[in-house]
Amino acid sequence: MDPIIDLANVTKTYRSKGKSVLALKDVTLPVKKGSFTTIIGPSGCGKSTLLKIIAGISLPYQGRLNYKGREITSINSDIGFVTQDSNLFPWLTLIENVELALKIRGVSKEQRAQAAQKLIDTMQLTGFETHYPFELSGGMQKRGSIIRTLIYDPDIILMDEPFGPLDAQTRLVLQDELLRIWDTNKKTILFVTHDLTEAIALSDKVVLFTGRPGTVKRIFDVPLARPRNVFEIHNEKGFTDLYHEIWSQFKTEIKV
Amino acid sequence: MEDRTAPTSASTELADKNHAGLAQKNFTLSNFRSLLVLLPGICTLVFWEIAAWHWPGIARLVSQPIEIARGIVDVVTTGVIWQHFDATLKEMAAGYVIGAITGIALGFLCGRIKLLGDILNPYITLFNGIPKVALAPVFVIWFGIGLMSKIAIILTMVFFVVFINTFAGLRSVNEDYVAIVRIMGASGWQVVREVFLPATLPFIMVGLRAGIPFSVIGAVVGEFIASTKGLGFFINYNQGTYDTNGIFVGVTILALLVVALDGLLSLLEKRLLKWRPEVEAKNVGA
Repeated sequence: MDPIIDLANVTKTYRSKGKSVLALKDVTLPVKKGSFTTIIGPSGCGKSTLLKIIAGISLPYQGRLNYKGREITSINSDIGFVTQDSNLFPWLTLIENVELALKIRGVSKEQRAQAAQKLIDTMQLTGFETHYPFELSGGMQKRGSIIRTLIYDPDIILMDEPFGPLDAQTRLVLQDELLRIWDTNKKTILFVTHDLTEAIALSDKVVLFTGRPGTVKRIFDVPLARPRNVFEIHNEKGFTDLYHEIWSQFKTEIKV
Repeated sequence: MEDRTAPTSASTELADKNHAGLAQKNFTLSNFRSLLVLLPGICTLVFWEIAAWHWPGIARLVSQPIEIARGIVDVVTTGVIWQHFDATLKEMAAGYVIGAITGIALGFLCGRIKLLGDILNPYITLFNGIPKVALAPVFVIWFGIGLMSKIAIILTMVFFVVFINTFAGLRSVNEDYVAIVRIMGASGWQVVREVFLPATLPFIMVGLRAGIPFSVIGAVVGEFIASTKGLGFFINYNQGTYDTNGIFVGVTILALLVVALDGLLSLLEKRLLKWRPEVEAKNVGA
């Protein structure tokens, strides 16, 4: 089967203070439909830039980037994007935030309220529909930002260090919830993180990036069985070996 | 109180009581706060009044609160003030609305069309640096001593404060928000409606509130220079007849007008911006 996203020698330079900066260099990465792929690398290696290019909001680029066999030349609305900050719109209530994409797509009021309510219930946010984001905890905001992406049923979800700002426990809970959603919906997820444990716990493949200019250093398969228990992932057979294998490569990039 | 069978219910009751007690405390605290706010004002008025009784010279220079109040009642009951009030309010309304609309519109254009903003910004900074009051005589020459010259002065003053705030608001919109709705499939107009407008609204409100005193200043200055009616004319006329109390009557009415209009806008702001953790007015400009 053809990969849903296919990057071949993608290179990105941008201008900053009159100088051109090379952010990504010759990134070649096929992403299989329905897979969970995590990109890990030192900060500033262009991981986020790569997601933005795939979403079509950071154009142009050099090289080839195909989505379902066609070149990406403009914003790709088949994609869902979950940013590092929850970025729920502060002027909308939780349910209005979740409905937003459907409102933009012209779905009727009743239909979008129904769809939003269903997702809110599955994320155990029931009772907080009319709360504004500032009245929600960080974890609740994050759940909201995930379901406002799920509501329009995108083929691929790009997640840019989504759990970065959360505390350790909330993080584990949300990783667990994300895996359950992924298990039922079988979306393609491309996930960026700098947490190696998170990368292994969640994904089928871990893509290790080099420091700037970012490029694929190595791709690791994660052989751990599914469904996974993120809370006990350390005890999973094979976890420690894989962790050390990736870490030995990773640490040379971050100059520990 | 009758049912105290289980210790749990008693403790719940106790908790409820504590809760109620706390709420009560908060209530009286906030009452106390508003009393504290009034305190300096009341003290000043009392001190002013007493001082005026003791030293008549003071009353000649700054009048005295009771006389000012009496004067206000007088001009209101005789109806002397209405034509002046009416004239000033019309000037303010027209100048304010036109200034605010053009300020918001141009602020949006310059804020979103980067090239346009970069080209116009230095000129706007330059013109903003000119004391608008200094332009008032020119406007009187251009537009005559009637309504038009006052509208011109007010709208120039209101325009800049609204423009600068709107512009700053647009330049500070979180680009992630824009990316998020565009990935959701938003058209250009939808991006404006769903992101730029609501995100800029707090800034626009700051500009609108700061514009209120400017519109009063503009009206009064215009009326000082040349006019046949208006609160500024009223004050100027009383100055001509050496009627200090009359001047203070005019000034007090202007002050009350500003407070009332600001209160209205503040209510509007609380309604429109109820999504913010706390609505706090920051006056920018001046």
